[in-house]
Amino acid sequence: MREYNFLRSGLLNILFQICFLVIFYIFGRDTALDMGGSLRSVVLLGIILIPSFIWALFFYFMDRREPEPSSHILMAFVAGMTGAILGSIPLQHSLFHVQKWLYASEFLFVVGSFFVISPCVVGFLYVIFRFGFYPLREFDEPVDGMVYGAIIGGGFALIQSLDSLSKKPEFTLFVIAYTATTNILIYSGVGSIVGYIFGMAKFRHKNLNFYSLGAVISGILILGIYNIINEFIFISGFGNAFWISFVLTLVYVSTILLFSYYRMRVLTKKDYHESISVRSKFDPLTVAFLIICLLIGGVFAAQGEMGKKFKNDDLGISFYYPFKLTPFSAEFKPMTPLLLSKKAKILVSGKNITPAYSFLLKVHERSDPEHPLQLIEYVAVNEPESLIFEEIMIDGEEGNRIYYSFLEKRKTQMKKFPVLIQGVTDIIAMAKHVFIFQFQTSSASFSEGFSRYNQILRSVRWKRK
Amino acid sequence: MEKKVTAWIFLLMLVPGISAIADDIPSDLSPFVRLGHLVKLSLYKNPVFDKEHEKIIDKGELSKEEIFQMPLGSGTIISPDGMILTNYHVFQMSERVQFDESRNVLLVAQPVSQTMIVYALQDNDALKPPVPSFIAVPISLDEEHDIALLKITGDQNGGKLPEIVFSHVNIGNPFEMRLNEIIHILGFPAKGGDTITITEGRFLGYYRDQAYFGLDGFIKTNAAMAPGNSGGAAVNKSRYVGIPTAITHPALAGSDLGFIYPVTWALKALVVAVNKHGYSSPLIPLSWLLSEYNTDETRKNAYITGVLISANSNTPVSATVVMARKDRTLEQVNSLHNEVQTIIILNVIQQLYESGITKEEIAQRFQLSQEEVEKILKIKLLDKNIHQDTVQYLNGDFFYTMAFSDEAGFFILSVPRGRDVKLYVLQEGLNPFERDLKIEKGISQNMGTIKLYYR
Repeated sequence: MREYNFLRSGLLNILFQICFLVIFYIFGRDTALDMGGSLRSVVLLGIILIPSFIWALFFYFMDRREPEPSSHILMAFVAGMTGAILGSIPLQHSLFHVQKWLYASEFLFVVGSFFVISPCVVGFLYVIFRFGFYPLREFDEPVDGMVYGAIIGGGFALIQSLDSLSKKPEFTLFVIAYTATTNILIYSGVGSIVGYIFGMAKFRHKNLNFYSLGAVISGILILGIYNIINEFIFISGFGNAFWISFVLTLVYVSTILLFSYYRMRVLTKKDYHESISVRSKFDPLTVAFLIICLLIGGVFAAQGEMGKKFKNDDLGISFYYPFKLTPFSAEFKPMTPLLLSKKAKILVSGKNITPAYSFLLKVHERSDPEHPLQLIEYVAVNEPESLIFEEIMIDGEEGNRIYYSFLEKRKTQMKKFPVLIQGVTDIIAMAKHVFIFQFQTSSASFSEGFSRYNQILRSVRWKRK
Repeated sequence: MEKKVTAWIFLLMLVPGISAIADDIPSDLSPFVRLGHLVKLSLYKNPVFDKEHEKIIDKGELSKEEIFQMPLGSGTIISPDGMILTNYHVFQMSERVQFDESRNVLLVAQPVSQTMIVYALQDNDALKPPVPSFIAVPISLDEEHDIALLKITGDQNGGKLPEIVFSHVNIGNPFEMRLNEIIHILGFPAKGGDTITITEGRFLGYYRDQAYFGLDGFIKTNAAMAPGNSGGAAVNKSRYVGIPTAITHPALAGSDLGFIYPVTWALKALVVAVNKHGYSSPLIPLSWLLSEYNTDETRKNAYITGVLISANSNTPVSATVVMARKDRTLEQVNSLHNEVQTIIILNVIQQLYESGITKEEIAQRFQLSQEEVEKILKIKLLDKNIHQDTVQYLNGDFFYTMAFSDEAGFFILSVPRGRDVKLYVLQEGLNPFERDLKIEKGISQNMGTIKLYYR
């Protein structure tokens, strides 16, 4: 009877999720939710809640022999939301700054998925479950673990969807529905796995320390692998990547749930339910594992945030610059006309889009170290609006900084108005070479761009003989 | 029998428009149109010039302004939906300035808009002047080949047109004409008045000059041509084979020669119209392009088109599209790009200086210091200073190109046939897109809609 309920409600859940997405595909594939203000937020929330509601119904039917109290279900959902708002999302964005480096390379994406994204999500799932719902008296049969875990995951999914969709008014209704559906499927799936393992621990009276570690490792692996496969679908250039991703999510999550369910059935063959009292206690292995994961993630995050390494032993310089410093700029300004001169060479150059600035490092051969430098020679503007000199220090080497600004006539829509460009040129004269670091941006992007530029300068290391 | 012959002669005389035309030009002359702009004419009193009268310092006092229609050249309707092929220089009317010294007045004429006025023959009567009948807007412009493709979009007042199937001329192969075959030039040269002028001449071969490439590939003819014929039609056996574009300078010794662009030079404009904008227009068969007489890049290269849309919003996105040899990484292509751009700027600066532009002007234009200009002018490009890929690129042996995709998509030129190449689409915030390509045959390849996904 229980198996029949599971399969029937599971099938219905999948059907409803598919119907939900198909309806939004038919009616919302070209329609963006671009109305302004709070109305958009309300509608967005309404759409995102639909798949959560379908998912909750599935677990309600699955668990209806002895349903969990509604207040506990609601609490689990709110706890999941809170874990995402106060824990997982701020940790990913404010501490690890994943937005700056996660997509910089395949390697960083893989390590970021396994050591930052997944531990942040699963870690908070674990904390909420272990210390909030695991000790509950109402958690009195193995299936309850899956139910609570899935509902906590549902709360996570809701916030994750809102976070990724709220700043994208141009996204179509279909993409909103896709995001909401796949997020609820995967996060609830991961939550239910964590809950299933805790259920096993509770009713098999096993060593919880190992089982909670198992729950966290399983969650991290499942979420990490999913993220990587899903990313692969989107970078492979498939025309119907949203549908392929949705089918992948359905198959992936269904497989995991079916596996867990049939494993759990062995446990519940006796059809018992019992009240086991447990205390909330610390699982040192799990906590240590999570800390190690996040530390490893932190190392890669720091590396990712520093950017790409440039190293030239002959010139004796190394530094990091942003991965996103991409070339192929539309307009080319000959900031460095001496590229082909034997005495000057560009080491790194490119433009950053957000914030917009250009960076360049060139090196000149120094024929006469005793000859004083003509600093103004290095400002590629002949009529600056302002010019300020000051002394600087880059990795212990003294140098000179020139702040300058100039008006640039641009071929833009607002072409009648010149743009004020602000620039900084830093000159470090070594025994044999003169290094010129150049930074330029529009006045609007100066402060943000300048802090990124300083980040590059802070990473400069000279190889001193 | 005698009665029958009389009846035929009588019937032919009833149709003056046809009976007057030679056999190897189309019987329907309505596709041959005159093109003009709506022009604003301004009259200035007491203009001020510099000492040599080369430069207007102040236009003076504006005394009169009026707007009128000004015919500028010829064009040819090439498709049932009203695509017109003409010269870019006919479409792109530059400001015309004329100083009347006796009255000390300056006349300045400039087009009011990009829309062109189409003067068409009425009732296919070649003996009457064409009248303003439609307006046409530019669809694709190819300044390099001096080609403009326009589309008729409304009646002479800009009003909506009923469903019209336009009479049009079929395109013919310009590379299969035999030497000395007859060519007819149809157009509206100013010296021929307002009515259509049809002249006849011979196909005299294709221009080749090892010392001067400027006219390479042009069709030579002795058919009479004059200003106003530009953008019109050169017809061989009722087929539109070329666009009359240039004539020898009157100061040159000997009789005049006319020069005609082979119609295949319009390929880029046609591909853009079809692949990028979705219009129907005649396409040029590959076999014509492969002719050994075709000196244009189209003989070896193809075009790639496509549209980039965000799959998340179903709207077009702007992005950089890079296409390069498959055996180079994106970073290698980037270095090449930077070096090539620098060399181009370097060359431009050196050539400007050689053409008499002062160092001060160059410094100002390129936002450089005088010292840097001095240094640039001393730089000599040596192969050993340049990466081998760059040398190959500058020699035309290394394929790499870059384009920008806008709302109408992207258009990539000169993709060599039979080579393994790779297309990259780069835009921050979107997943990068790359695809291997090899164009074995064909004029162009439409990659269709490429969906890009937000990260």
